[in-house]
Amino acid sequence: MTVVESVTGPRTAISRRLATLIGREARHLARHPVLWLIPPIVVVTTSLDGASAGRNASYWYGTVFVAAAFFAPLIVLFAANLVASSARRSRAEEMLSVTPTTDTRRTLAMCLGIALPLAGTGAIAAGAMALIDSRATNIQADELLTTGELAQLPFVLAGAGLLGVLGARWLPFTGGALITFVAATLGGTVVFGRFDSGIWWMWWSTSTTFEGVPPVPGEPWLHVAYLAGLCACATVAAVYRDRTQWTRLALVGGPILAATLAVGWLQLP
Amino acid sequence: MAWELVRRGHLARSLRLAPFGPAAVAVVVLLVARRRGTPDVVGDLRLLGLLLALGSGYVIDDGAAVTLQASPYGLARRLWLRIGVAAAVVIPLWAAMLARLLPSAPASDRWALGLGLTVELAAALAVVWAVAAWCRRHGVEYPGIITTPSLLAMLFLTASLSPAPMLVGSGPQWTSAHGRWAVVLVVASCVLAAGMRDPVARRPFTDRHSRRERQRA
Repeated sequence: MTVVESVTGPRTAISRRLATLIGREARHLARHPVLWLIPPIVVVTTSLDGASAGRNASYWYGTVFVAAAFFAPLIVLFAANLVASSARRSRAEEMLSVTPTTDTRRTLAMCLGIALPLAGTGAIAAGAMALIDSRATNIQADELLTTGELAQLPFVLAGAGLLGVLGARWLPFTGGALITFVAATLGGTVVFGRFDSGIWWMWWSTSTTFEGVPPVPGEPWLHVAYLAGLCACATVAAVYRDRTQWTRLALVGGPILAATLAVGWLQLP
Repeated sequence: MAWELVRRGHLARSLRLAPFGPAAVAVVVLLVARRRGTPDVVGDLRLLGLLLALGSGYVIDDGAAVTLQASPYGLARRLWLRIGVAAAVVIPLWAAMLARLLPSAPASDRWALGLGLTVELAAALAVVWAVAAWCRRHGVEYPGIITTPSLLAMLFLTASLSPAPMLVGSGPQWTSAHGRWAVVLVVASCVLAAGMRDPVARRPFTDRHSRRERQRA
């Protein structure tokens, strides 16, 4: 035990070490080249877009929404997967296993380091949309999102990142990220597209018009809670991936999954 | 030697088959779900083409490349052979699905649809292989995973460009849109050809230059 630990106690030292790891993972994600695809693509798309009605407030409102709720999550999933699998791909796991931090704690730090900045980015996007809404009067009523729908954006982005981590932990082979992506998007679209309230069970925002099907009524704030539950499920499943931790996975993950499904059920009218 | 690699199964064993899993599942699902024809030929074939292209992006991930660098069989030839093996998986699957789904389209549109969608698939394959080859040339050992977000980003870009639409349905814009796909195919093929060159192999000019330098020294 170091001098600092003897004064502040081991728990404080552990949380400080965790905070350091979280910061490191957040930096790792922020500097990842795959994430750099997002700004140029959004800039090129908006600059080459015809924008038949002109680049007014309504256009920018929709652009921020599409970038934050649709395009960014697709790219974030792969960036997070690459960050989470970097130790395995660079064959550094053996070296990491002898460090004083456990695999469980490292994965928790990775989940938080990936989810928190992404949730912050989603909150900034939601704030930008709220700002455009407050300043402009020409946005059509059917395009406007409620506060509950805007609050889903941070969890959509954080959820995409956590899904990437989950894929890296449970499918640690080449193509694992692709299978996670296809299962989460196309699989979800096929399965949940078969019934009217399917959009409420996906990890997407409920304000998205899904294959031309008009959105069915539901409680957006409970969908926020449902998305938060999915994020918690992904974190628990990633953290307790190791075979020796499967009892904890069942004990901790079971109640969280049950609560998430209950909230998912309650969000429907 | 190429035939030996294929015949003895070394090449097939070193290929990553898991990324083709989603495409294989999609083929089975489409064959079962569209037994009596499909209402959306273009949508179904585009989805399958996307999955095949995404799965093919991993073929250049060659863990043995570093070990085999010193062998007389060059890196570029080995990578081209891997692409050839991936094409041998993709082409029969694509041809089978075209034969299965195209009869659901109006008879007058079948050739145009089949040709156009094949050009789209070829362009998507050229893009993923070009990205993989370029990344590999710049030191990324396993570039496969980078090809997926790159292709998705390109598709997002093509879907958003309203002055020059590329993801169009059957209609008057079909031919012009596929002219643009053909341009993408040509450009990506050039990048692929440039990216596949062996980085260790020197150009004649560089060789002459270095020989002169040595003589001076």
